[in-house]
Amino acid sequence: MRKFIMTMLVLMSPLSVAEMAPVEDAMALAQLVAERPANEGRVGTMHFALKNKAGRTRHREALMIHSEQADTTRIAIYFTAPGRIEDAAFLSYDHVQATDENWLFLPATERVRRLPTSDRGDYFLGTDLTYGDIKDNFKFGLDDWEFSSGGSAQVNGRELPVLTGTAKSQAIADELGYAAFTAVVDTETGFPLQIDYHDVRGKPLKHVEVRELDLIGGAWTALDFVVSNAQSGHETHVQFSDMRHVPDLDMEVLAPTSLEYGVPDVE
Amino acid sequence: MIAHAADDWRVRSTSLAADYWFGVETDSTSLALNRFTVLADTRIDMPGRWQFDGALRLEYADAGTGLGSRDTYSRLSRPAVSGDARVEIDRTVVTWRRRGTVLTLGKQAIAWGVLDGIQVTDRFAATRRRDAVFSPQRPERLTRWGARLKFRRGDWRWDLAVTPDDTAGQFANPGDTFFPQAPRLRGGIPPGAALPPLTVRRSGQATWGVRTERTIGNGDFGVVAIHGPDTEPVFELDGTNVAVTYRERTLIGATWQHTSGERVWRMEAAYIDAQPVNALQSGLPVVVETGRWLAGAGLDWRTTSGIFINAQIGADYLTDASEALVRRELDVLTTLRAHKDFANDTLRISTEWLQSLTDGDTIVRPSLAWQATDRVSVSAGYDWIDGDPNGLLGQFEAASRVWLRFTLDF
Repeated sequence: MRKFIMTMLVLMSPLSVAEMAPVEDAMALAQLVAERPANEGRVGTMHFALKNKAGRTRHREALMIHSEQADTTRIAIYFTAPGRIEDAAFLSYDHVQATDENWLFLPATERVRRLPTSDRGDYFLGTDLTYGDIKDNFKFGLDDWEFSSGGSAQVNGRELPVLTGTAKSQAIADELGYAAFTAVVDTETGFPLQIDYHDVRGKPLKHVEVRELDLIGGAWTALDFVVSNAQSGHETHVQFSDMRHVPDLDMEVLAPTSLEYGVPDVE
Repeated sequence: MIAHAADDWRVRSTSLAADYWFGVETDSTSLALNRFTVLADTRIDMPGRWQFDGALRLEYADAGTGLGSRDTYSRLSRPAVSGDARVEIDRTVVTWRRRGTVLTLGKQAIAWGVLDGIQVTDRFAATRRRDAVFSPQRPERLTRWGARLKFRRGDWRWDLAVTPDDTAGQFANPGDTFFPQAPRLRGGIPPGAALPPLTVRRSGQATWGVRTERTIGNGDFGVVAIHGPDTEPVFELDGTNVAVTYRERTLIGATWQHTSGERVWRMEAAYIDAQPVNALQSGLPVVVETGRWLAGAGLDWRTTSGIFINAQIGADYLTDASEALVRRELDVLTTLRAHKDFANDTLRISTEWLQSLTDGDTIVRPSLAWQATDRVSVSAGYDWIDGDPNGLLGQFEAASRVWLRFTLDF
């Protein structure tokens, strides 16, 4: 209900986005993003293109299975290409109340290994996304940031509000890998369409551009986005195909023991 | 829902990779390693819930580090040979899967245990030891013909395996770089002494094992039992020959691993009631049986600067030791690995340090790996060995080497 009220506040405000009272509206916008509905199960094929500063591109393809439940977010990534990493699989449990857990299966080792939990600011499998980016799913934790309004910006011909955030403490900035962000938020979907992050020293770090959204099982989901690292010149382009909502997802595909059997077929 | 219910046959994936690995001994600058490997793999969905997975290994080697023994393989698993080249079935399995139940039939590797390279309960599979401890993965398990059933009952996950295939492992051939030199690994015969003709006497017996595990909090606790031919041989006189034999033994053990934030703790312990070991009687090798405790602990730790550290210690203790035994009553080995990735995980600097606390032997293995493209990777390293020529690691002191490796994925 609270989420609904916030959404309506933003959508039905008689004021233009530029006229919004800065602090209250920034908080409302932050809540709109943070409380955007999540679906409890979705599955899609993930295509990564990793481009370095010299323009050389590496490609990855993986099946991603995502489940978000009250106390735990589970993400499994089963790599399917290139052949060198085929059958490698990664699984993470992000618990609200307990220590997070990660597992990795590499065919060469023939075993599923528990892994030390990555810091949220660690980069995810050679991409420009951090583990925190993956887990947060284009949301900004209400406990992590001091929000303020950044005015408005034009995106695809639409005037949209800009949300800015500053890490509440140096410890949080160190954990996230970001000291501040600026995001252009689509108020219809509660999704940030563009995000600029600054690193812990306050220098521009990354630009995220969401190019395609779709409503998957009642939750807006990014199907095409690009993350550019301003400091390294590296870029990660992520596209999803066959993304679908799986309401009764068999949690067996998100069990550590499933990793060693390769990509599961999920109905 | 997991649904491996394909209506028809369908090739799910195929892969082909070539690997060239060569090295030069730092003491003599002679070619220590010159090995070319091609690995082909295919996976096929079959009607019902079945899947086929087959992999073939083609190898060629002509320098000091060869391709290893063949006569330790069962007739069915043995690689085909032509000169310095071999063809070996790396894996041939059909797998049936439904929810938490998985049945695997065929030539497969069984990987148990929670430590890395220190084998406590990971003693179901035979291992490839032609490179001693210098293989890219350790242990490098051999596949054997057999059956494996994994299922879940309540909170417990069960894993049952049986292999009638008595393939016993693979060692370097006499004269090769990593042919065992330490007396403890050759029935007490000292280094440099001429070996009598060796014959391999496999047991002809099956290996069976059961493992059960459950999750407790952020950890996993498991119990394991294995019965079958030992993966370590003993030497027995056989007329004028020495027979390398693999006697049966039973192992009972337990494993535990626990995630604690950026650290993962691992522990294993096992007991073998009647471990066959060699002793010397009037200078000749005889086989005696003793109790044997194996235990190990490890810590994986990811530092805030992104360095991954894996530290382990393992102990191997014989309960009925006597002075006549060809090995120490207690062996203690430590391993320390560290690596850090750079340039979006395309560059990895790593090092491994192995130390025998009981022999005083040391191995240090710094290396650098570069994933040049999606298909090409290049790595280089230095294997530095120092210690007692009679020691577990120091026996290969003369084999210190620098190496270079190219891998191409098609």
